[in-house]
Amino acid sequence: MKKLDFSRFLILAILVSGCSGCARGVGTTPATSAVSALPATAAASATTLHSATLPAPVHAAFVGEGSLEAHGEKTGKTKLALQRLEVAAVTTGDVTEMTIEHEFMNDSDERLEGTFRFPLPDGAMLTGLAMEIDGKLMDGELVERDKARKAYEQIVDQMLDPALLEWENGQTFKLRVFPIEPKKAKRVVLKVVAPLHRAADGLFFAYRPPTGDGGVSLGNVSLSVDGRSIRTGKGEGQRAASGEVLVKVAETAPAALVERTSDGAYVFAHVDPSFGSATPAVAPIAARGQALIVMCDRSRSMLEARALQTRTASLLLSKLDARDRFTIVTSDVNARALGAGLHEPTDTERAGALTFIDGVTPDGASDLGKAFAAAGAIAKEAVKQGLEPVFVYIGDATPTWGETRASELQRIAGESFGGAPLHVVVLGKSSDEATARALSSATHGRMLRPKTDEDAQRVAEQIVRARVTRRIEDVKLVAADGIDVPLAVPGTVYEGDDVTLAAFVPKDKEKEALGMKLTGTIAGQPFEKAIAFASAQSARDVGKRWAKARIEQLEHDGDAHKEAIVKTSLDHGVMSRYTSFLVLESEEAYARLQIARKAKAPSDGEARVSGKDLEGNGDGRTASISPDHLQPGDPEVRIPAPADAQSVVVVFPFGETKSASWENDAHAAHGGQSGTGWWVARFLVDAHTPDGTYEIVVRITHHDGRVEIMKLPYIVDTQRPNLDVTVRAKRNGSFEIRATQKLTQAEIDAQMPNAVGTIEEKRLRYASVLTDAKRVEVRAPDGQLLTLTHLRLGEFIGTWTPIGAVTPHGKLRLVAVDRALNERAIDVELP
Amino acid sequence: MAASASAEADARADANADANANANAYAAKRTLTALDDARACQPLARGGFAVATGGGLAIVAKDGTSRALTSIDGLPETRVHAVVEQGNGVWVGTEAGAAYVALDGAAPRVTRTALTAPVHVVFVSGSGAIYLGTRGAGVFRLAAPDAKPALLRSSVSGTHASAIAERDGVVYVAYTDGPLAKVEGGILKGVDRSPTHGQSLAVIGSELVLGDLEGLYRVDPSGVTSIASVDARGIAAAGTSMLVATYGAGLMSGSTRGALRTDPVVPKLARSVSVRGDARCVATTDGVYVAEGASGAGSAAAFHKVPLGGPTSNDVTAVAANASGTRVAIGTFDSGASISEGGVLRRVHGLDRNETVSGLAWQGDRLWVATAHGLVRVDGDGTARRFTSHDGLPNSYTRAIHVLSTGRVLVGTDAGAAFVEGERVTPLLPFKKDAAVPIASPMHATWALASAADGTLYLGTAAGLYFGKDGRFERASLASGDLEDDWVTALAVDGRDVYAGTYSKGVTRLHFEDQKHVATQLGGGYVNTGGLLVDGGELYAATMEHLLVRSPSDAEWRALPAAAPGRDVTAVRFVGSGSGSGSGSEAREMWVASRRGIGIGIAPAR
Repeated sequence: MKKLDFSRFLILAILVSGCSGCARGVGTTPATSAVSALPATAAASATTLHSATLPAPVHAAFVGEGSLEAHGEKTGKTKLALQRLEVAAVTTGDVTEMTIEHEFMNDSDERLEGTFRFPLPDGAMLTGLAMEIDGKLMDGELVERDKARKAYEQIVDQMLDPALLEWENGQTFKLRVFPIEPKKAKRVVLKVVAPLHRAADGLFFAYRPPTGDGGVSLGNVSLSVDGRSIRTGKGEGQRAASGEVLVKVAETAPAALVERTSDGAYVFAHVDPSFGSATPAVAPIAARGQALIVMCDRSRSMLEARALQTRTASLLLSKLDARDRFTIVTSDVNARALGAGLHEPTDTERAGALTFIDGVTPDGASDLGKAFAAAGAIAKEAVKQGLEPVFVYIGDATPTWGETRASELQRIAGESFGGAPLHVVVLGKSSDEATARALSSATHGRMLRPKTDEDAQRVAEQIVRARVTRRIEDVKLVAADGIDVPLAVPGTVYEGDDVTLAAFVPKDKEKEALGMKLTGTIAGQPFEKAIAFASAQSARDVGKRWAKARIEQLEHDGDAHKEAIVKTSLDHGVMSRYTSFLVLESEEAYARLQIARKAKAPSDGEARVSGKDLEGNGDGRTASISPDHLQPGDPEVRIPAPADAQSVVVVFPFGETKSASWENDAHAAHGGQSGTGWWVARFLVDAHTPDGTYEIVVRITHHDGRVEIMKLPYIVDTQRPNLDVTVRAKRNGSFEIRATQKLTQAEIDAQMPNAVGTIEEKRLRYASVLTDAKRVEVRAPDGQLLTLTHLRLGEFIGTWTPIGAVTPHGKLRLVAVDRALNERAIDVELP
Repeated sequence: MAASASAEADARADANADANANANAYAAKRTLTALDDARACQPLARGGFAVATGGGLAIVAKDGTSRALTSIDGLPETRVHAVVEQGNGVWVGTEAGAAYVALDGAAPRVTRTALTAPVHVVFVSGSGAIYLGTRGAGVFRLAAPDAKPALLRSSVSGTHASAIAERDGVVYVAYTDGPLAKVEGGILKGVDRSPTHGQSLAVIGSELVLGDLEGLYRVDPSGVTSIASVDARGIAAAGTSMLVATYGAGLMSGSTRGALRTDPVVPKLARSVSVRGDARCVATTDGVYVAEGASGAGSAAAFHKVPLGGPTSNDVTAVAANASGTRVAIGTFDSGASISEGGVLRRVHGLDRNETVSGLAWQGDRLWVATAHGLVRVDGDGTARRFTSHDGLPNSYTRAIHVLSTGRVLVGTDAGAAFVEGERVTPLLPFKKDAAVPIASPMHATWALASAADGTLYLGTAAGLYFGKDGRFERASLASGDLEDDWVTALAVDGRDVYAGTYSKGVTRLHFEDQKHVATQLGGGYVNTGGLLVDGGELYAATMEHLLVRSPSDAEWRALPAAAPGRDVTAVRFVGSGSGSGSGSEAREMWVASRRGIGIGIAPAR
């Protein structure tokens, strides 16, 4: 046997991927009743070649840490310090499944209630929530929103420990947390599935390094991608011009993914339109000027994004030529146009336009329908002048006033714009991507999401040159009857767009429905792109991506399909605006409130490698409920595959294979509840295994024959913990002993062999990851044996009150024990 | 100076010779390994089969008789992963290098070894070159059987080679941790878009077929095409058809373009398949299955098992002999337990097939088994009773058993110790000496148990050694200065001396005299659970680095590498009541268990 450390693993989850630069929905048209898309609006003739020169935007999977704002009677409103952040990301297909753990500290002296907010990246989905309650990590349950809220209020009244995660708006979710005990830390664990960044040279996990605004130092941030620790401090990986750090996870990005279930197959595909040599190497040119009608949403939710909004507008105007004209419409609950008629793109007019935008302070609600109507009225004037109208909306696309249903807004846009394209530039944390996508798709425009100045440059270029960009027109998706594709295909696909589609093929159609086709024309030439299901790569979360698309589709009509949205959300474990994650303090609490448990407690449900808790609390439970607990002994691999799986096979890094067994009583064996179980395999780590990270590969063959591959890293640790010790004589004759774990070079080298920098830099950087002392004992000269109190990570304190006189030059013997039961004895002379 | 140096050298040589002779005296005379743990096989040109197993290389003659070779016979390691015939012998890949075993004599013998890294694949090319695929050390080529291994340069990410095949003169290598590679200009280069958990490889007709954890694939210049989603561990051509050994669906057969059929005889967990002419064999976790005189791929009924025998697993964790030495119980880490009686092995009923056994103890004809799922009592009539936390055990994961002279059984669990008497389970509540409150120290995971004639109990825990009686205990630990490691894994009592074996710091002798104790550190490395024994005045320690022995007069431990077929020794027991120097059934035997099976030798005289 070998001392074994850790159990960082993989979780499950969900997601949806957008495209790079512009996401689009897709729809299906039965082969027998194909529906033509709207004709392209730009007058086109084929003469010259145009291609975009700006680099594609980076699709970040992690865009920053969350924050916890709390309040109490004495404390008032306060932002709690984030003292630790851990992100563990695992690749499946072309998405990453992230477990994001925040640890906040309540330094106040009173119990607080708080709201945790977390920015979700574009296209990402929340798939799970767990929170520490009484030292135990409890998994949340996805529940219909009103029921969850009612349960939360009821429990708060009882002064117990619930948490409620609800959709707030756009890409922001808020978590209500109560209570946050004084002088205690609060852990919040989110599970998120986010698209990876697709590029010509591979598939990348892209992230924005934490800002530190929340108070967390980079030394207390850890990130692992597919089991490999990433040095966030130094920004390991390539750095994009826009600031994201790119970590390569695969050499190529899969074109199509499939997840098979007992009901059928879910497919997610990227359709590269291929404007290559097969298509005419020409692009349309503009025969007349364009009238750019820019709608700037100045509702309150745009407050934070107002600078980028003005900047984007400025860039748009700067790219117009002398034939073009423009105007600005600012909107909130009202819509206001920049003077009368259209304006020439002179310096003076452009400056005046920006002053006009800045003159409207973001406030109030957002009435998109009113903005569209006002912009449409101006377009009529443009047409009279022989100009080609092009509409641009810059805002969060979150309608909160007047008409808020996406389907109705699509209708209003269609009627107001007379077939002209609407390009939606999405800004702000509260953006409604689904509505933005629906509007742009219905009008043959593009949805674009700039985050930086460089992005804004690219977006302005794409919009102003959209008329002369090669594109596929009259786009149709041809599929067999019965294939369920939730979102509508865009009528026009521009060069550079990455069209994605999610489809469900029922079991009885799998033999006949072997693929789908995207058809259309490029410069009058027929275009056809086949999507063969057989070549799709097996991956997790494809069903959830389909569900997300279905929910987006259903949300177009506001509350009209609420019931269907809730059902899809609960069936697939995909959070929606009508469902919330509720965390209660115990399984009994769920039962009491009649909330069915689908999620297992993290200690049950997560695949992991763990040893035994050899110094447990005597209750017999396996103590490791966190993926990074270190434990020695003969490790176990636990896999949360369903009980009816055909087989679960575990391939160890040393080349051995074992079949895992379903252990129905495993939980009971460790003192927990009976009636649950998991697939377990035990193994031994050879005595000569060097310290480091190893990976176990698991093959799950589900009852329906579907195969799932899972990877579970673990760490072998034989390094002894080291202590810095201070002993202070107190006035009453006793001694205060403080011991702080100090990482050694050997410990850091063993676990982070590629780490660079000085030892102090490494200590700082890896303290939160490698600090693992769990117990410190002290043998005093008078024979007393003390166990120091574990104050916080790596820090211990205690008081020794000598029996009798203190021996001159007497020594204290301290023994530090880490989570893998590595020990070190240190002798310290008394002061 | 020269004369003196020479004398010193002579003295050292004499000492070494003595040590070797001494060590040889402990060498196993026979081994007991699980040869049904088959990993690969090869029909031999002379008839019969060679079988790579977790318990050594088995050579099965045409008449069905077999012989096995282990590390004691010169193999680099007992665990054999691969076997391929060349000339009058076979190349084998073991966990610690490759070897050539000549079969041209009366008995198979190792004539050459190469490399020290784990060799998981051996391949002989059309030109006669030998390729050795390792786990972590690259792929080596031997131009001829007696040539030096040359490392192939590589530009691929994979490091764990799992299979090698040759098509049209091009050698392909599959990796379990990277894409398929092929040798071009002497360099291994990746094959685009190939799966990354490769396990097997073969040429069927003119097509290259790759077996991956995710499925079976056809590899051709246009790309990789899925054939089936099976966990393909071995592939062999049978004419233009193929045989696929799968982990989960057993042996399958068919073509690269059609559906695969499952063989009804071969067990589901198949690891490898091999074909020579009309002879074929399949290595499975449940033994080797062979068929002779078959033609084409579909001749399922022709397969039958060649039983090679041995304990239920090579990963032996515990050995216990009954008082008369007529029955020896053998516990394993992953496959329950068996009892050896009169040279015949039979499974212990009442245990799951894959049960983890931590400890064994006899009480008359009753066998106690400590398992990961409770304490199992197996009575002489085979009736089994399992005690778990539901019966009052502090935890169901049991680690150690000690039968007390009072008839009670003391069991160590992951959450403390308990007494079992009849059907009653009473947790041991330890109190400090002279204190009325239970010890609030981490005395939970109890790995080793012992008792002295005066009733003193010794409990080896992950937090030190507890000793005392009547519920009042003291603790010896690293902090108290008694131990060098708090994780006590094994105990042995010899009069007033108590030996505590620890996880990583060897053995501590605690000499008890007048209510006091004196600790002496004896060293000895990593002592395995239940791995200490005092016999004939000598102290034996089963460690991760061989069986060690020392007498009171010795200043150092002596390693006995030939005592067991595995380096990681888990238990030592003396069986029988013979004089120790005799032979036959009267002889007293020394059973040395390891992670690679058991070595059985003649016990030294007491």
